[in-house]
Amino acid sequence: MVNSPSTLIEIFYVVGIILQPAIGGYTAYWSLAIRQALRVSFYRRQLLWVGSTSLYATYLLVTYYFAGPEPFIPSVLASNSFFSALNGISFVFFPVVLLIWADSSIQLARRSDPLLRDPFRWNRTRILLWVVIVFGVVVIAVTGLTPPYPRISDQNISSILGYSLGFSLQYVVLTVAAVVLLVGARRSGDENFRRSLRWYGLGIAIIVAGTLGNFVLVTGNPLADTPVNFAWGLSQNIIWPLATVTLYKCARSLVPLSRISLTASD
Amino acid sequence: MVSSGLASLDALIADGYPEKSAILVVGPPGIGKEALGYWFTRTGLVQGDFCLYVTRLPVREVLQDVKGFGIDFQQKVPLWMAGEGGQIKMDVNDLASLSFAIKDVLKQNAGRRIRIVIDALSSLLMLNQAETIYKFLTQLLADVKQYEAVLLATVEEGMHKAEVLAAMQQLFDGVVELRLYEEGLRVLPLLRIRKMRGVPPQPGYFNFSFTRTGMMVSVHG
Repeated sequence: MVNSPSTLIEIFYVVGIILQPAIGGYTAYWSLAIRQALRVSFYRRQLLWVGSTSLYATYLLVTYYFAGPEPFIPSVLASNSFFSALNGISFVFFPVVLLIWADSSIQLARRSDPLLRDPFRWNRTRILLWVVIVFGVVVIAVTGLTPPYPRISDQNISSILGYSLGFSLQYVVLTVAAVVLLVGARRSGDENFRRSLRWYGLGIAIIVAGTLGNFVLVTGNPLADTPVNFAWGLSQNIIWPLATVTLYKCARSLVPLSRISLTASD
Repeated sequence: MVSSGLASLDALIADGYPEKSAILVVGPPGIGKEALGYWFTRTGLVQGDFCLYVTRLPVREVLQDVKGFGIDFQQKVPLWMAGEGGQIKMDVNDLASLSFAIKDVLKQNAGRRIRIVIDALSSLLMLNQAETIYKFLTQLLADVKQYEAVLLATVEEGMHKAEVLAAMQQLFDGVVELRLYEEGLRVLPLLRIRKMRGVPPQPGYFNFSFTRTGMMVSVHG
């Protein structure tokens, strides 16, 4: 275990804590600025959730830094159980945030389909999916969401089963929603919306791939040596800001934005 | 002149849309183009004009949108030609029926002032060849002008090729353009009258915002 962190890793943390909120805040700002200029509820809701996802990603990363498995910044982490709890809760609710966004996107996809088709009867299917995902949250909360943020390896068998069941339910729901969204997006006649969805999809792919990569890294080498810490810190500082930048592109590409030009050709 | 239903817009276009004209509202999705159609219809209903609203959406969804703009159609309602819930079924794949139904409505209401709103042009353009839509519109606009009618259509910016939109604008007597402009760290909804029959060209941009009682317009910059 690392008791005296290298300066380089400390720098990673500090950079991450400054960089990610800056990008997340900027993304949320633009999402809300564009939203404010629009009047149709479907588009306004879409931008609200893009902005919210960027803030949520920021919240996730910052609490994760503060509640890291090892106290790299001891003065901040003197009582890290609070941040551990916040971080644990935020990971459990992240799939819910993604479903809210997917739900909003699928409704927008239907609206922009010239034939107004409802993919897989989404208006009814969504109710079932919402019940399942909330059930997943409850299962995880009941089986082990107590501070400090529990790690699966520390839990008893019922917690492990609860986590597995809860997260499996949540990710099955998200997979179904992703399939419905893909069908809806293919039917949509709004090229801007499709471009916006591609950016969002890229952002989620970066988060998922990055998280899995880190999981493998940390599981194989539970923060036992400096090179692993170095790689972990570096990847955190790349994955989350990069994913948030894609959310920024997602918000900006949802509707065509022009720049003022007083020339006649505009 | 036929009032647009928005005093601030009427002031920009010499007291309203020209008689026997066809107006195109162009703008990005979500900016509120439909609101111009809602206010145009509402004012027509209040003034006792015959109003036809053509949409691919179910009537209940349009009514929800209408309420969002602070407009109430419950007292007097237009004739709905809608994807669902209207008096006449709107099928975006059947241009011939659409054309026939509108002509029929025009004939039946000859002698009255007629207001027609078509909020389905983008869908029609996506499902048909552009040339087919030009022909359809050319014929429709010619029919409309035989009566005391004003037609207002909306089309999405960013969903069609620029040349298709440019050609479309040639067919109409007036073009109102709504756009989102980025100015520094702000996004502004701006309005421009690209052309209006009988009104001198106006190069300026106007800030606009919808309120519960209409639209506020001010000169940009």
